[in-house]
Amino acid sequence: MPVQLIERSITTTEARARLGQVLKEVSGTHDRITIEMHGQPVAVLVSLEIYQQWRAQWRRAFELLSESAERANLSEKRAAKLANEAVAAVRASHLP
Amino acid sequence: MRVVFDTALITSLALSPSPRLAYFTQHLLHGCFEVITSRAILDECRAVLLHPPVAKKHGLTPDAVETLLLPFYQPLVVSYSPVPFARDPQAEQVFSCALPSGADYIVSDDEAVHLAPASYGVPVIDPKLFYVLLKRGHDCNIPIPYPAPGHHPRPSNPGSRLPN
Repeated sequence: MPVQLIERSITTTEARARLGQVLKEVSGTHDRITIEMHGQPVAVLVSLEIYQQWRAQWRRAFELLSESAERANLSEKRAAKLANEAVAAVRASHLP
Repeated sequence: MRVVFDTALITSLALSPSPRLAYFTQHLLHGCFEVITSRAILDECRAVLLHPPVAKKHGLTPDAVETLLLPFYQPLVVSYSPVPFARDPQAEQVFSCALPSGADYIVSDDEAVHLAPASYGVPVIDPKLFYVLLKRGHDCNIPIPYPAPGHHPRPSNPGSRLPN
């Protein structure tokens, strides 16, 4: 099951003033803190564990995609056609 | 850069070996872009990847499909937010994800999504243009592992070249 992240934003001023406390908040948790500058998100703080887990999961997902794509070995055009047909079929099966 | 991938695009990545997949991986893992998705898109991806004609081609087990979709749940899954003005279901699905999350682009091959009015506010680009944008990205100074698709033979095992 996916992890439910707690996400909130702080300003760069607050990050500068409370960096130690902010690091404690994300360390060992699933929290995610977005740092905003002039109202725009510029960086995200997560624990090292979450970051490493995230990279490992993406790496595995792309390995699976690579392996499955090699097995299917369709041209991009045929793959897109089959994908679109499958999307249409799945949607049709969910119609009331 | 925040992007939304639609169901058909994620599915076609599992069906066609493309150098772009490894290229996307490099840039994603280096933080050059973030994939935003929604439960509606992920639920549909699961159903489409397990749809028999598709599953027969890629050969992934249901467990492997879950593993494949797991990272899409992080770091961000936005809540469903209906877009009443989108008439096409596919367009409605991706725009209802892209608009509330402040996505920079929707990456899709779907004609109906591309035909959505510019007034929706999120540009729709195809995977080839997304690839070009990544190559031109000034904030992503990482080695380019592959030439442009179609210009050179693809590597035999792109997954083996993923960064640490």
